[in-house]
Amino acid sequence: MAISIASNQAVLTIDSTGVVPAGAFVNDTFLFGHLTTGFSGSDFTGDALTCLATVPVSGPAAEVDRLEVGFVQLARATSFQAFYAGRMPSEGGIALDFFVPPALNAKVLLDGASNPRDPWYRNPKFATSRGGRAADFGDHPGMVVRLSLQNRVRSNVRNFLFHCFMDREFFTILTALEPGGKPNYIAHFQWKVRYEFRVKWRAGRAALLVNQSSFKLLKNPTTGRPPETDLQAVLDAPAGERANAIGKRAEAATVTGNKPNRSDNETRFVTVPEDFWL
Amino acid sequence: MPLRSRLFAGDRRLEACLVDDKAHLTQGTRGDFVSKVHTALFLVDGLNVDAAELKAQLYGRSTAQAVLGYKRKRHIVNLSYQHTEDDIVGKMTIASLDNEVALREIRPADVPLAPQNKAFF
Repeated sequence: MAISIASNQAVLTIDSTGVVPAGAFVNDTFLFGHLTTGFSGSDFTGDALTCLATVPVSGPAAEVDRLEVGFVQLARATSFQAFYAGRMPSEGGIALDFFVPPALNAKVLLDGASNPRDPWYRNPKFATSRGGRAADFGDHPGMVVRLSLQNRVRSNVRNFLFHCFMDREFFTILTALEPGGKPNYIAHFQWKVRYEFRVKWRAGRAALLVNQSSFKLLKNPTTGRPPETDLQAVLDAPAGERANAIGKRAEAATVTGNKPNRSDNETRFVTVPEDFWL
Repeated sequence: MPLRSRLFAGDRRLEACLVDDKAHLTQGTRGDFVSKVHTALFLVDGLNVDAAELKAQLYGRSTAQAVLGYKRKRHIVNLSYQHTEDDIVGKMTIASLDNEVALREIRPADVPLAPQNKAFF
C-alpha cells in the first residue's frame, strides 16, 4: 500500500501582517529595502512572511515516517535597477540593471535559506498534525543598494543614488518527498515584493527617502503545482544553486561590470529631480 | 607642461590659470571651468560646496573656503609674496589639483561589497 496524501485537504495559513516594505540607510553606505518584521535597523534577523501548513497523510507507518513534507520556493527575478547622479550635470550619471544577462541569465530561480538540501527552501523538520503532517515556512526577501558609486567616465567622481526599484515574485509550494522519489507538489501560493525608493541628499548625506514599495499576495493557496510555463523546467528538476547565491553574484557582477548591466554616462539622467542635491 | 588630467586637460581657461597670474580663479568667477574645480575638490578631498554655487558654476564663499582647506592641508604658499595660504586657485594650486585628479582617474574604483546574504532573495 502506497502513501496517500490528501492534497485537496491541505491547509496553508499565511501570515503577512508583519510585512511592511520600508527602507533604511545603513552605515552611510547602503540603502536596505526590508519588510520591517525581522529587520533590526541594520540587518535582516528573521522572517517577515510566514506560513503554517498541514496535510493529511496515510499509509504504512514505516513509509509515512520516511516521508518529508516541507516547502519548495521558486523566485522570479522580474527587474532590479538603480540610478545614480552627480551633484551637478557635468558629474554624470550611472545606471545599473541587475536582472539581465550576463549578470543574471535565468529569471526563474530555485530559492532557499541556510544551504538546504535539494529541493527544499529550508530542510523540513519532521512534524505531525492530527492524522497528517505539518510544515512551516518563512521568508524575508530584502534589497541592498549602494548609496554611491564612482563614475568611470567622469574622473571617478562619486555619483549618488536617486532612484531604485526591485520586483520579484515568489511561488511557495508545500511539497512532499519520498526517499528517492520525485517532489509531489501539494499546494502553492504566489506573492510579490516591489521595493522602490527615491533618495534625496542634504549636506552630503542621504537624507530623504520616498518609499513607493509594496507587497501583494497574488494567489491564495491553490492545490497542485504552479501552472506557469516558465516555472516548469525548474519544478521538474528542482536542484542546484539557490537564488541568494546567484543573486549575490549578479549584484557583484553588475556593480563591477559593463553594459548592459552597468552604464556610466557623461551627463545626468533627465529624471534627476531639481532638489536631488542641496 | 599642460594640464594632464581628463577633467582639466584642454580647458583653455584652466590651462591659462596654470601659466598666467591674471587668469587665477578668485571669488566671483563663474563658468563651467569653475564646475571642474568643484569636481576636483570633491574628488580629491571630499570637499563639498554649497549647492547654489554648484548650480550657478560660481566661485563663491564656500568654494573659496574649500580651496583654502585644500591649500592649507598641503601648505600651498607662494613664498615669493606671501606667508600663509589664500583662497585663490593660482598656478601652484591648479597644478596640484591636476596632478591629484590624474592619479584618481587611474586608480580603480572603490566598490564596497554588499554584506547581506538575505539581500537579494
